[in-house]
Amino acid sequence: MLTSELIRPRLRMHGSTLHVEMVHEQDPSLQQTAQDLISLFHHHRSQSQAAWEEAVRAYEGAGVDYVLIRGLAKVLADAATFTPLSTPLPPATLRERVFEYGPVFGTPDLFHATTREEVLGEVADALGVAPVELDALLFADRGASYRLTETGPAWTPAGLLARYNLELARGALYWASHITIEVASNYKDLWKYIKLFKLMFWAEPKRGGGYRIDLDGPISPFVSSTLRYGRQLAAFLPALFLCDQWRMHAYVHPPQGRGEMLYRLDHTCSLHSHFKRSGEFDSRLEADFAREFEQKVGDKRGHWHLTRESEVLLLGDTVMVPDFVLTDTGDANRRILVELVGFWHPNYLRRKVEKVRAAQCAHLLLLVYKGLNVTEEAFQDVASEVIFFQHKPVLKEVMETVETMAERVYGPRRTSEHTSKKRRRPKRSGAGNAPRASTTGNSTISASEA
Amino acid sequence: MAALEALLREHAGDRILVFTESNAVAYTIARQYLVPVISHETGVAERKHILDAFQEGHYRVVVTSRVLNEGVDVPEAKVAIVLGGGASKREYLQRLGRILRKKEPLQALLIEVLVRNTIEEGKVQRRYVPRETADVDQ
Repeated sequence: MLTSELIRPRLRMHGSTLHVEMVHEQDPSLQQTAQDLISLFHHHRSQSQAAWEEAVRAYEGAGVDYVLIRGLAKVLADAATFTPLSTPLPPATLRERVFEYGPVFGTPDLFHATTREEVLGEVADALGVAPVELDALLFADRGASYRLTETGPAWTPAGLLARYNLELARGALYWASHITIEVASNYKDLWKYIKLFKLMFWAEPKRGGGYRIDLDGPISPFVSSTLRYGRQLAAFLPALFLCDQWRMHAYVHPPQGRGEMLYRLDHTCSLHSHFKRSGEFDSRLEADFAREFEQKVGDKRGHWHLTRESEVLLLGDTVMVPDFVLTDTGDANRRILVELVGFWHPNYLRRKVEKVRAAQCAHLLLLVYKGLNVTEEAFQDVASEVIFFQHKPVLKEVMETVETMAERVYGPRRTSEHTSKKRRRPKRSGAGNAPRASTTGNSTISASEA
Repeated sequence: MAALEALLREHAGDRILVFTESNAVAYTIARQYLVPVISHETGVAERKHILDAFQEGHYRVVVTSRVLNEGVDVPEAKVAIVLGGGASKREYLQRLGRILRKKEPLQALLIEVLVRNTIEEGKVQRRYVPRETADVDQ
């Protein structure tokens, strides 16, 4: 994604409306620039990132369109792969070995008896590499010395310009405080992408079909990891273009000041998505959870079956999209929904839990990433199933809670299997004793789902 | 670069901090003279290692861009070499503060290397620092 200094010069403000100045994809002179850069990039295969950047600067010269050139170059580099050179030892160790002798010069003097060449030769000998090689590998861990190994998609000039336009539109969202999206049709993938990027959202079904979705932006006062969330939100934008009929209103606070501006986009804009429709995808958090479940629990050892779900769950006037469904292999009616919440703020989570409660959806379990500045004490009064985690959810704790929830919601499990019953009992008491401040209010929830 | 080399040779017995205007220059110097570099790219562990080793005298020269301008004390450094005079008065004093700490001896040397007949000369002349607050050779 483009850096903010490549976005800022392209923002235009009229009154309280924000526009992003995009480029004409068919403009012959812009296409020429794009073509030049694409060729230049291909010529830099197997060269270092620093060499590529230098070449771009040289191409730029004293021209005034450096914002465009650097932007296109960034798009090319982002879609490509730069790989670090392999080193006999970690580069930091190589440096320690060599820098012991510094400073050294080309010629010796009274205080500096060894030359640069001798030092490199000596250390290189000890490591069994050529001195030239050692010289080149000293900073192999710097991004600047990574080699361009894969140039990415086969860009056409128009394609590159189109992608550049998309990145500009994304960039405007770095400073968004709130986004409202209305979609009328073909929005199935939208849910998946909202989940994939772990965005905080509220969705309401609209009369006559479609949904209205509210997203908190990175500079909303509730978001703490602004940068990371901003990138996630901006990254999400192309998912909108997969819908047939949509409209987006973003409230943006551009860095140039002047307060809140409205940035509007709808399906008539010429931006195209490079996202896949209905592919297999997951956030890391989800993929890790699913993998760990298969490894540690699986269908055989437990009696729960885990499935990915991106079905929309209607809860009163809002919708939720759980990540997983755990189904009891002995009784398909016993289902526990699991949702992983990556980004959140107290109000978001509170509202979410309230909706769950109001809808009497007691079979939903929220797994919440523990933010740095808000602790679980803030949720003492929350009467639903919330488990906090620091890095990843603790599967054992999750499964214990799932058992407890299932018993409360659906009643005791009816199976003839003695073994599984025996195994479950101690687990349940274990869950009860576990110090989980967030679930102290469990008993107040009504077991109405059964 | 020639001026830097002469200074590095001249102050052979002292611990030296070299400040550069850009990251690229810092890395070029590091590779040229085989001295450790601290930039924003340097990881926490390596940064600590370099500073510790510098304090102990294991490393004699450390080159850095703007990272060490503020907040890190390097009282062991007796000589600072600033390449390029583009620094503001504030930056100048901060860099001076890196080497002038409350530790004997209370004297340090700050050298600025400028390119003649460029904007740098004017910049340095405009930046007036009273002698009393900056008791160093220039």
